[in-house]
Amino acid sequence: MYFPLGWPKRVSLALPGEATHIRHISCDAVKILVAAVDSDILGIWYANPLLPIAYYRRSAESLQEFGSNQLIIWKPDSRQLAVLTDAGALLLYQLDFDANGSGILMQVDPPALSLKRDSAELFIKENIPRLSLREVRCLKLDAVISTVCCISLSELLLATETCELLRLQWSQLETVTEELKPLAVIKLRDIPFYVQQQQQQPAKYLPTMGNSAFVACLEYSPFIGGCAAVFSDQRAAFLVADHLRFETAHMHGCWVPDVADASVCSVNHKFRLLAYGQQSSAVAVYAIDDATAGLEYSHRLVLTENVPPGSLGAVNELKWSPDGCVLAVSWANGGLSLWSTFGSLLMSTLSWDFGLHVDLVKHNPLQLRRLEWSTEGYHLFMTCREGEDNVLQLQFVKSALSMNPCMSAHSHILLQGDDCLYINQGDNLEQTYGNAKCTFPSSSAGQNDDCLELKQSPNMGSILTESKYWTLLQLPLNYAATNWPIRYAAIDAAGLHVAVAGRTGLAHYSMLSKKWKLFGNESQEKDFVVSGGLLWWQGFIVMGCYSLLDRTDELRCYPAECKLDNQYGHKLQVRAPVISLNVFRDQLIVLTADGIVSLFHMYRQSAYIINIDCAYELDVKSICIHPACIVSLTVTNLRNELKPQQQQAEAETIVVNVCGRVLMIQRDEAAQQVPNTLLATCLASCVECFWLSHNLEHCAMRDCLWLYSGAHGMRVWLPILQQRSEQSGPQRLHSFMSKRIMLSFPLKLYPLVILFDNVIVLGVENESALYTNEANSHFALPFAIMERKSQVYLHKVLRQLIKRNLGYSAWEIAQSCRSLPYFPHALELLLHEVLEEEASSKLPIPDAQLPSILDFIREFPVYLQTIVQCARKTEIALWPYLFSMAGKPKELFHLCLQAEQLETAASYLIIIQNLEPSSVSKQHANMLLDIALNQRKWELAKDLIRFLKAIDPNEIDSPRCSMVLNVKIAPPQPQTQAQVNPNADAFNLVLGPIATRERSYSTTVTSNLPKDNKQQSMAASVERSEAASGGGAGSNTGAATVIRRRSTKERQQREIFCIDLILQRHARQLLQQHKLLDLGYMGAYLDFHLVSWLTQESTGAARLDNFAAALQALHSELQLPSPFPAAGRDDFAQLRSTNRQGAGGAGGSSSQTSESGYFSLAAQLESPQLQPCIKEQEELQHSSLPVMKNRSNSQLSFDNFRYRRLYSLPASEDDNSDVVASYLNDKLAIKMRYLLQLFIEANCTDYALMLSILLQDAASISRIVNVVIRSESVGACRRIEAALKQLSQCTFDNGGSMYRGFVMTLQPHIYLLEQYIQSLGETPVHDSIDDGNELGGDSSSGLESDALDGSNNNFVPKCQQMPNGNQRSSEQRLTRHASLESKSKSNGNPTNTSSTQSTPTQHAQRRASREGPRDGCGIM
Amino acid sequence: MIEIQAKLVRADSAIYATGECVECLIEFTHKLFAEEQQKSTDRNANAASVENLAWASVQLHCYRKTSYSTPASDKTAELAELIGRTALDAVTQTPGEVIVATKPKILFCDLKLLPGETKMYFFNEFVPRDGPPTYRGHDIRYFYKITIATQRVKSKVQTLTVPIRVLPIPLIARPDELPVTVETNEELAPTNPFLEKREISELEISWHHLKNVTARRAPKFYRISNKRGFVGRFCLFKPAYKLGEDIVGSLDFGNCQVRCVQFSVKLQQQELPIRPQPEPMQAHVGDDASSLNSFDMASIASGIAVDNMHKSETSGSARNKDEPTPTGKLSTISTSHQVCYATLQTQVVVPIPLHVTPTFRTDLVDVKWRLHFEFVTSTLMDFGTPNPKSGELKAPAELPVETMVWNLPVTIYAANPLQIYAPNQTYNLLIK
Repeated sequence: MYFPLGWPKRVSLALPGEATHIRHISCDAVKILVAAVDSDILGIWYANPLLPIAYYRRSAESLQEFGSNQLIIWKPDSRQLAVLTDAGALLLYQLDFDANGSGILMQVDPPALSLKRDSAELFIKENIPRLSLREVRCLKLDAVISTVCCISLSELLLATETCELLRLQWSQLETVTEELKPLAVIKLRDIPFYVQQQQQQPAKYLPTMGNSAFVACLEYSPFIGGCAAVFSDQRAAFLVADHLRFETAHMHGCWVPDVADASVCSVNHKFRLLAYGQQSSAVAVYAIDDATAGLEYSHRLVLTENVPPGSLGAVNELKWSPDGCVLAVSWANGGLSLWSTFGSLLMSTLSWDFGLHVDLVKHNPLQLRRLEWSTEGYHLFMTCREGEDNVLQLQFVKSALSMNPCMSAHSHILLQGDDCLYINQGDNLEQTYGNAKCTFPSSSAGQNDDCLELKQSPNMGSILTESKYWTLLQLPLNYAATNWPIRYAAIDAAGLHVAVAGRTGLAHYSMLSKKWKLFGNESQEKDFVVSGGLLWWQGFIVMGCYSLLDRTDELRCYPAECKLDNQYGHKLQVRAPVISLNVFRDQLIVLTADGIVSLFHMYRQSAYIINIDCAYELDVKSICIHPACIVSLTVTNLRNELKPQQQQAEAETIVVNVCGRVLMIQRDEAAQQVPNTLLATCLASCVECFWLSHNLEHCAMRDCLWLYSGAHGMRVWLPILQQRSEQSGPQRLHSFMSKRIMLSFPLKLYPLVILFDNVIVLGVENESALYTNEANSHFALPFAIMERKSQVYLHKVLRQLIKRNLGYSAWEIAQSCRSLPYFPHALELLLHEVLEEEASSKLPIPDAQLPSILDFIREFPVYLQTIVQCARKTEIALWPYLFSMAGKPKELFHLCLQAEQLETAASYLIIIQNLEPSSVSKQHANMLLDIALNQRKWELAKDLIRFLKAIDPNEIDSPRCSMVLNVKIAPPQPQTQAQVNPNADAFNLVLGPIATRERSYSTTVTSNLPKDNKQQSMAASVERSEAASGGGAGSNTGAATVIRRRSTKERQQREIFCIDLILQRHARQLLQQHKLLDLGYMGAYLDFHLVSWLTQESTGAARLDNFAAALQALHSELQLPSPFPAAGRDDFAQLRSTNRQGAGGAGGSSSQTSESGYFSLAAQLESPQLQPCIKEQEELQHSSLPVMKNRSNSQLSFDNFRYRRLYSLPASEDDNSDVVASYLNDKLAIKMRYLLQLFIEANCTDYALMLSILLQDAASISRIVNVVIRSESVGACRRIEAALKQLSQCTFDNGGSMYRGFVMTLQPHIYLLEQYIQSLGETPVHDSIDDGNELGGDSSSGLESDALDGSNNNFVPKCQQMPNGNQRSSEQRLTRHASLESKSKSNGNPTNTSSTQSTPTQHAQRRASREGPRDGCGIM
Repeated sequence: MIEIQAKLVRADSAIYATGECVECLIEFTHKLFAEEQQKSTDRNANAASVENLAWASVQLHCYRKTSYSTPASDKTAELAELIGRTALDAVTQTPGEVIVATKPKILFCDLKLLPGETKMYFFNEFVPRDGPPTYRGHDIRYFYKITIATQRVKSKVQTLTVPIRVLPIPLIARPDELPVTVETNEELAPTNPFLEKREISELEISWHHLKNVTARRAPKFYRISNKRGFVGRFCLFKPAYKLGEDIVGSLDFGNCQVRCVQFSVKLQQQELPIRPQPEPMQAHVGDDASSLNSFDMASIASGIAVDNMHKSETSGSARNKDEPTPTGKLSTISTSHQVCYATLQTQVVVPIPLHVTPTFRTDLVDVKWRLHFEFVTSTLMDFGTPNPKSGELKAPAELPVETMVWNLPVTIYAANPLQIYAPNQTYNLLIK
């Protein structure tokens, strides 16, 4: 799990001031020194910082005689190195350490103060050793040396072109004088070679092992006990000796069976793997079979993504990283890739984005020759094939798991670089209170709303968040300067503490305080080396280490709370170096180099004191070749069979990963103290890393063992749950049935962390960003970055379980994960995978899985959505197969309707449209449209109308012909889409490509017309609908004049007509139920032209018969207080209205702008920040909770009210005018006014009148009255007159009505109307209106007052005469009910509200009345 | 006993941008403890067991604590403002002056809680758009707290404070840029009150703006040379960064006349007082003056594209001799150091940690960011001796070096608070 970072650095390893082509780079065994050769120079460098120590340049004669340098081989003690020349000679160099004198290249500051170094990091603490390099001997054998490899501190192996292996000692090379006598000469032609299939029987010597073949590439590994070799005839072999001494008699070889075109080889010591690079650009990896010591095919690395086959060329170079976790591979035609131990691809430069002008197939900019891992694998030296200054150094970070496998228990991604740590904390899910379903009251309503009490406590929810930033921790300078690089890193379970160990000592960091803690005493830091592992346990750092002072191996614990000092630390001596350790609860398991696994119990006595006792020791030498081959181990309470959860404090099982093979060592029975290695069972092979899930909160996948095996994917060893009925029996009937099952599934990313509770794996992927296209600059290469990725694995596990008929387990697991936000998505993926596989299968499927998967999904309420969303992401060609199993789409559609999942139903329409004749889909769409309208789902209705209009009318009768056509139109969408958005956008997305081919121009005009030419479009639509109806009538009469070519258009018009009918029907219903708001929304969202429709309806549905009842209904719909409340509730109404004072401003001012229409009003609209649908609800909330919302409105108004009530002060007139509009909050008022405008435009006087009354807009009433009078229609006049009368009647009947004052101002209009009717010479008394007889008396009295008044149209005098006539009587009636202030209000009201037609007298009056409250305050 | 618990809805990051809405759940629980329960059962007085709170209010405050001298007029003005206002006396609760306070919101009046009963309230408030960010500097600190205050009848007011971190979102300087981010095609249609468009909040626009500002643009090249010759070329791909991003630059030492042995790049925060402060400036001035010699040429000639070359001031540049720019209080946040003796081309990656405060400015302080470069150069291109035709060449024991410094200002903006992982705990208060 190595990930490259940034651009590669370009370094120059030539002599200072020169440039040269470097041929080979090699680090010594401890990776402190780097040697590099070009044709004649050998350079020795310090690895970090990369500084030159010494060079040796060969003379021209030497070059002539022995050839130029080619390959470097270090002696393991770093004292000597051998250089192989291309002429097959060996040159031995001696490296002497010059002890006297300090280091080299010490930087000396100049005397000038300003030129001195300032920062601490610029003073390099590293002491570069002074070394001298000398040539010891040039060796030329009789035969040409083809390759060299070092097998031990004392010996090395030379391969010659005569097909011999010479084993000789390093010391033999030194002695110049002596004749070289190899320890052994192994004639490869004389040793037996086996082929894997026929073991123990010598195969025939292969004929090609003839004269020309020799070993071209050789690598030795002590753990394998042999060498990997590649012959010059491209044959791959494995050479092994029976004894560890290589002699002809004891050696044999194994041909690698399937590799006939090998180019290079490399050996992984830890996992005992041999990798052979091939000419075919693949890499074949073989493991050692323990039983036969032969080769066993493991896996094959083939790059397929982004690469045309055959373009890579032969494998150029292979290098395992020092820890054996990754394999770097480069190819002859360029490119570098990185693979994990068991073959999962971590990085490939061929998938990098090199920009447009780079064609990777023709010329890869990254042409590499040699690779060499530097210290701890943090850097990779790469030499380019051509040119000078050809050395690149790529930086890597690696997962902490690679060095410290005990870190697998944590949920944080921890990556370590050479001097920094990358941490990605937190889950994939952001924790919040409340989740998507539970929304809090919106906060956008402004500053006025107060805190709300919540009825129930919202539960902890979670939302998916995009990947968070990496937290980068830089190692503190004073630790890093002497202890570079980081070797071990550990994070605690909470992710709050991090510990790192470098070359010596350790340091730790607290995420909360953001501070590092280092050893106070630097010598203590220098005195020990952490080895084998580092972990956190309950605030203690536990590590295996080697004390340089005592020369002993120890376990140490340091508490995080105190200073880092040995006096607080706890030490426990162990016998041999610690190789690996791990912890489970309070048990610490330690593997030491002598092959003993020890189990310790840890007790925490206090925050600073810890006790460690050894429980038992176990010899594991029998299960591994060498303890170093044990990759990781842990102790756990996992057992083969799932026992009922008893309080087992003690873990009983040891799980060990030996060279990729996971072994479980179980205790035989509870009585037995120590587990027996003889009872070890092998669970899996090729395992890189394992995780254990113990106690989970949510997920049912408890007590599982998770394994990652590279190319073989992820595996989980899952206990099989038994159904309860089966469990309850005295004993299981079938005891032979297995209790656990191993499921495997592929993963797209390399898992670093498994979040068991969230059924998700987290990993890191290598991405690249191109910074510039400038070809010459070195940043023309992409910049490598790391991105955290996650993958849900739930569906993969479910599928495997269902496949194996373990539906109950699957159901249990799925049930436990239902609360996860991506659960529906997981089900969808499950269905999609199976569908794709089975529907596109060429072969007949013997046992189709789809039905059982569908049955499974049916268990969950999201079934309907899952089906449709899956369908919409698959090709249409697969739909028939899906719906043959899942049920007919029509039926599913009806199920959706039953379940009131309208959005889902809408999605099914698209499927129905594709699978059924258009008429069916049309019919269903109409059905859904109806329901959507009824449920006020305007957005949905809008989309449905668009859908209906887009159906090609010609296709209505024609059946769906072929699916092939549709496949082309709707290409399969990528399955990787993370989440489906269920809203209209997705609908459009899918609908789009299908709809556009059918949509004709005329329909698009109507649907997409901008609203500012509403008038024209409206007119157009009226014409059209008329034309359509005319056409319909024409066909009724049987006229055969319908021209063929016009039929499409006509049909289309009929379609639109049909939709219009539905809309009109619905609008009529709304109007009849006085649901004006809904009507408004409908008009707005559906492009339904209200004015034209209302014009039609002005004599129909838009007539009002009972004004009072209509007003009442409207009030209840707007959730306003009843217009005619019962008596005695006046105080309450008063309270409300006064509290509304602040909000009334807008309403008050708006009443003056009635003439200019709605545009100016809209300008005052406050900007809400929410989507319309939410807005609507919220508004209702507003009006339903008026008291609560307005409490903090202002202290002033509250007081005002109280005083007024107590002292019965006369209320001001202004107050009153505010009351008018403040019943409606301002947004509602604007909507009402807009509707009023529409009704006036459409000539619907009844509704216009009612809305004017609701808005208490006297001006608009007078306008209506004038219009009616001008229309010279007696009937209309009479209706209006009667309506006004009825209202005033109702108002007076209910004294507390809020309209009382206003209605009184309307009396002049009534009078005017009566007068007009009279002037037409008709008797107004006998009217056809229902309650005419009641009003009759009033009208006659109105006549009376008219006589008093004089016959001009001026209202003003009339107001002053108000106390006369019926007005007076009503006043008297009123006083019976009303309190003092309401009376005073009714006095003031008329003057104020009629102020739009103000006369000077009124102004005066108003001014006077305004002064009223001030006086009142004065009195107080 | 009543326990008050405050939990922020955003449980995984108690971080908000200015203009965002803080949402908090406040729980009042009448807690019963064992002995108390015993008592309450003994006494059968129901009324006694009901706990009662007179009122509770919540408010968001921004405090300032500074060693700068603030004009006295400010304080008196503030006090005058406070008088006659219904406000919590929060000034006394926390050290520091309140500079921004939201209107207090009343949770309830006269709350009665039965034993074991819990009531939960929801509080939301916008973080004031014009307030300073949370900042902890040398001489000045700004911090935000939600104060929940409650009172029992006849006892004193008790408060619970919940700290939050606030990130600054800059107000957009040029409002004419705004429509660019908004889809303009629907603007012309007349407004139908029934069709309420999703209004794009100013905060949202600011985020867009921020995204634009911090996007990568044409690279800028800086030629670095001292009086001995050309050292290298530095390239920076953008001048403005978000928290959590890495500042990525590249350094090219090819064809240099002076070898750069090592360099370090530091991300530094500058805290500049806006009003002249009485205390003397730091010793930096001296440094500046003396570094003139080495770095008098540290500027700028044309490299690849003339447009991309930018002149830049250096602290030691001769041009600044007359008026040394004040450096203010400096703090180094992260460092990138490389020994580049053998390096021809390399990169500079300076991480910006998530916990720092972005660039901002208030009436008292100006917080800026810069990259501080130190190049250690050597004129010794070889080992002091000519390279041999054959035989050994050893590195010399000593290498004379000179150091030059250069400062390059960068701007740091806030990141999306949701992307910062900072789990917050629940805050409790027990009222006996």
